[in-house]
Amino acid sequence: MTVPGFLKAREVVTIAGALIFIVGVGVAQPRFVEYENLTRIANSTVILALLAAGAALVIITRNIDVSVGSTMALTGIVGGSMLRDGVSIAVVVPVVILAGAGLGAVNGIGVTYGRVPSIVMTLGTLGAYRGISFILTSGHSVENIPAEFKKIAVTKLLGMPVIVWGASALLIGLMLLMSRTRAGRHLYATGDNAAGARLIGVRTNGMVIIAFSASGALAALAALVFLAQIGSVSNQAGMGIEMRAIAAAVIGGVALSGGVGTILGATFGAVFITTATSSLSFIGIPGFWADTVIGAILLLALFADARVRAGLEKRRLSARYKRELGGPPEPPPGDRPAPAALPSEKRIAGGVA
Amino acid sequence: MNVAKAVLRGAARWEGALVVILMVEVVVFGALNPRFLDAGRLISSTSDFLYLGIIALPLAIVMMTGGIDISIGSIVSLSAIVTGVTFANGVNIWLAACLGLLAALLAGLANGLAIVATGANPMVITLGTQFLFAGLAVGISGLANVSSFEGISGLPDSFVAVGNGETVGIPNMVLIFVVVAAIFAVVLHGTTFGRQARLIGANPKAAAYSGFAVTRITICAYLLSALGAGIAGVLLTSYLASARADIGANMLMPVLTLVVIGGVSMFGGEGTIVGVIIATFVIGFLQQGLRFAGMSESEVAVANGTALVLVASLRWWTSHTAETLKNQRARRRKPRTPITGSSLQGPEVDVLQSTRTR
Repeated sequence: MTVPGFLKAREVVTIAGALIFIVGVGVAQPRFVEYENLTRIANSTVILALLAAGAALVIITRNIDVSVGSTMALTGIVGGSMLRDGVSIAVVVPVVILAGAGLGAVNGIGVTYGRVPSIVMTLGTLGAYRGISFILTSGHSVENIPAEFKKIAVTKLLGMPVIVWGASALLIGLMLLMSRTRAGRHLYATGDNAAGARLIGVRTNGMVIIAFSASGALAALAALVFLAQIGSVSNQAGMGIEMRAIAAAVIGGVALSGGVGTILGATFGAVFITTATSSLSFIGIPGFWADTVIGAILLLALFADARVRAGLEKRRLSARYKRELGGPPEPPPGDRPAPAALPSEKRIAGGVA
Repeated sequence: MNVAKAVLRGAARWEGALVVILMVEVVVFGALNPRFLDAGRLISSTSDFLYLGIIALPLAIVMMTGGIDISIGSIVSLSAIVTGVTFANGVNIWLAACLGLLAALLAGLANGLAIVATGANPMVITLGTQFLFAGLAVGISGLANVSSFEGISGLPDSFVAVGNGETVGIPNMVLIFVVVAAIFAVVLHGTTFGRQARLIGANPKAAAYSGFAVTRITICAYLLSALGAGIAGVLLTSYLASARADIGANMLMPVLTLVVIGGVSMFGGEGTIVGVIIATFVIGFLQQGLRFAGMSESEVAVANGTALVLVASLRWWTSHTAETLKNQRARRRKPRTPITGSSLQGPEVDVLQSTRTR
């Protein structure tokens, strides 16, 4: 099977794209690649990278989570109010993470046992969690976060904020969990073929709930990073960031059809988005084009992916004809299916090569 | 034939349920606050939510083909800002509105072509174009030096009257909604295009093998949903008397709520325009009523999200329970002797008997 190589290729494209982009901008504007600026970019990537990892986990199980922005705001407001009222950091951090996991679990339970399609479920909680966070603060933002918590954001190790080190360690841990453990493989199996996975004894419902809980917990972590970096949190926090997180995961090669993609890819998708948007001012483009750039990168990635997939399919077919017919492969008549039938067929097959 | 009938019956039941919910709402909210029942107020309040229905109706057609269009909110913004910026640059307001609609149609064409060309999941493609179109809207307004808070105001009174005025005592918004709804109902239920679009959603392979122009129909569906969003963008610009680049930013959730509660399946092939029309009023009056009952805006949002999730869950569980009951009844019935030579029916009856004897 060519699948493992293919998987790797998906991320290699993203990582190479991000690096080439950084080098390209660096050539045009050397200030961009100074160590200090790169650490600044890494620092501002952390929140999106955490959310993108959560989005990837959920998408790998063939679901989608559009509620993470609201989860982030709600957990941020809970954590911020507790910190403001003098609760110790050692208590607040686990409570906030558990709260995020709980909010995510609500999504997971609704999707599995409630049988609600994931986009409907998470759109519902997107509105509901945002509403609850407004009710909790009656519309005000939470300020006066104690200095000892904000200090975390400015503490540096080897010139890089500790938050970046911590987030990298966490994401690497997640990568290992996904690639080296039984639970990780079960997660992939659930997304690739839920019925088949169930038949071989995977608890598919449990895996989906775990994925949503992890996404919620990562959103809560992102909220803590937000609190430390910004020092306050409003009800508007994280509005619309869920779509950026999903875009990052997709740019990183996570397929919405489930079972394909890695945390590494999603992380680099987030790095790509942040570098692209923060490089705009360096190459003299007004900041308000940021969304256009994200959309263009995402669409380019999708077109590239479609081309790669079509090429692989063609190679697979010609190898098969060679095997069956012997001799040099003739271009078979069925090599290119009628273009009218192709897209819809691919869609129902889930687009998995 | 039987399947079609069963689908029709199921849909009719769902729409019947929606009508009952609507009546319950009117009675309950009327009892809580008699001012809610004031007919004039009730009708004029519809202008606050009918534009969502105008987007939801064509989106329902897209979802019946098994697709989805995440970018509708951005298309609303795009058409609004194109209308505003071209007007601010001296174009006649009606021509500007047409240009706004044209921009929306181009956006829809881009969606459709990208989906057909890549064969990728429509959700990711429209996620990409969501950023693209929203970014273009903000970019255009940035190039024209529009303040993002105020937008473009100073629109002529005749244009503002489209969204705010009345014709023979009925708000224009209601009239426009009625016309748009009638057109989409005919398109979906009375034309070949509508029936083919639905079959593409129910079974794409069968549709392709029976020679439907799948590509063309898919592109048409996205053109329609973009047109709906474009109309809503121009209408909102008129209603609010200002063109803003972020006008559609948070529109996806309320619109999808209408479509889902209207009974359209997320997986395609199922649903009716009538359902979405009724759902528009069910949700619209629910929100108005909750406000009249003294709930704050955020409490309404929580209630709305909860209702969306509960309805979606209940739909599956009621149909599942109905199916289980039907199977139990069938099992209890005395099995008929199989028609001779039918290879399909033989094993089925065997299974039934074996479960009976167990």
